Amino acid sequence: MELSRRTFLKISGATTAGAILGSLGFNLLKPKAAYAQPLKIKYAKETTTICPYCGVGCGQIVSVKDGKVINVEGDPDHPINQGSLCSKGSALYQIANNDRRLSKVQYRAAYATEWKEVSWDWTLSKIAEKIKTTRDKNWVKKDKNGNVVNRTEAIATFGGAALDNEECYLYSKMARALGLVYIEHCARI
Amino acid sequence: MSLKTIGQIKKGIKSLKETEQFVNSSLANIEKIFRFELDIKRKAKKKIDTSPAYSGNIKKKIEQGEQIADFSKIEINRNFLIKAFHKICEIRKSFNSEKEEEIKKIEEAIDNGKIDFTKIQENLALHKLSYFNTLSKKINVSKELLHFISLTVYGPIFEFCVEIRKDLIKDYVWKKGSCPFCGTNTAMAKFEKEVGRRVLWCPLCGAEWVYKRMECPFCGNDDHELLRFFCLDDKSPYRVDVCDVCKGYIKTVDERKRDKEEKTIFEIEDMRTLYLNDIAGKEGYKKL
Repeated sequence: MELSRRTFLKISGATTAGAILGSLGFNLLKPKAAYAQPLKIKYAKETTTICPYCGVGCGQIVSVKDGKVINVEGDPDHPINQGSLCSKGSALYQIANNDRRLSKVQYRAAYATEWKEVSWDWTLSKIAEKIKTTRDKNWVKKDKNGNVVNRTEAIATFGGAALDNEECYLYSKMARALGLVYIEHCARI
Repeated sequence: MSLKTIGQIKKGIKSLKETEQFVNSSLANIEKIFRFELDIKRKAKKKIDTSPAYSGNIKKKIEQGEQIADFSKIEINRNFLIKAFHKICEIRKSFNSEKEEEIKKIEEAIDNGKIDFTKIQENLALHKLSYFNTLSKKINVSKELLHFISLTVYGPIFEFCVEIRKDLIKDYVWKKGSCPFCGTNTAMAKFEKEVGRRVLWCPLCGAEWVYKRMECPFCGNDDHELLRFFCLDDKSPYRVDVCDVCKGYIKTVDERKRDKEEKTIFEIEDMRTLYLNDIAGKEGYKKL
């Protein structure tokens, strides 16, 4: 066995168990170490990401094996959260892995008692229809003083914490174009 | 954290026994080594002067990425060294008779002054092997045995040197995978209990320092696609992080997967997981 500058011939720090220890005359190890080695080693990867929830933007590390998320944790090197996560961020694993999570749109019609599964195409058309109908029914061309206002007060928007500044700008533009005035944002930070 | 008490040593040996990797009789020998090293550390306080190892502007050195200690400059009482070398030779002889002749030659070389302790210290501190190569030929012993005997004496001295000044680096950010004290490459890591912060360990002086999670400590690669890890059991606290750029690997202990009270003692963890060294080697990765 060649001694190299990186070889540390202490009891601990052995490079490979048998080679180093055997060369020192230490027959420490059992002839066959008793560990359950799988036939094929499966590797996982980690990737950094940002929590999708609020505007704080905590850093996270997602571990993936065989194309599946196996863990989500706070990124200790992220300057914002330094590894900590709130209860929502901590539960993010369940966005990827929880059989109780809805994967299809559920719709309960007015006065109905049951949910029914609907498609996204139908859903988006329905949302557009409701916005149009509500806006048309509640359109205010002039206020009580006779000023032209062209607005609807029957629709409000609460924004979205995961929206970045550019998305918020476009979103508010769209809301104002529709005539909304009750434009709020749930993330006040 | 390193072994600091007899209780910790006993607990460590017990945990090594549980791994079933070691021949039973050898565990007693390992315990003798650990006890010897602890004894050296305890006596070091009165027998060595570590201050010459820390000279110059520490802050400037850290900012420039230079190691802050020079262990070759530690002043050690010569009689203390002689006694320590003899003691470890006795311990080693007690393991088996295989290396007895060579150990006797080392002991004779100590007694007749053929061993230059200053050069041994310098070689170990500066990661050189030239003196071991020369001396082993001169006294006709294997360089591996000579290196081992020397490292078992000086290792705890270097550890003591770091333990009393470990706060030197706490206010600074050290961005290298090599030890901020002695420049040795890290050998193992842990993810700390609270938020999984990665802490690297130096196998020579026992220093611990924080390092980025998503970066290879050997080559600095931070491409997520080329950094992977494996573990034999998803519930195991041990995993092996590999880098597909430099083909290096590092074993990691995830403290979050253990009982809260359990402390990570790297010397023990490294030995508990020797089987992972084998597997990593078979997978084509090497210790850098």
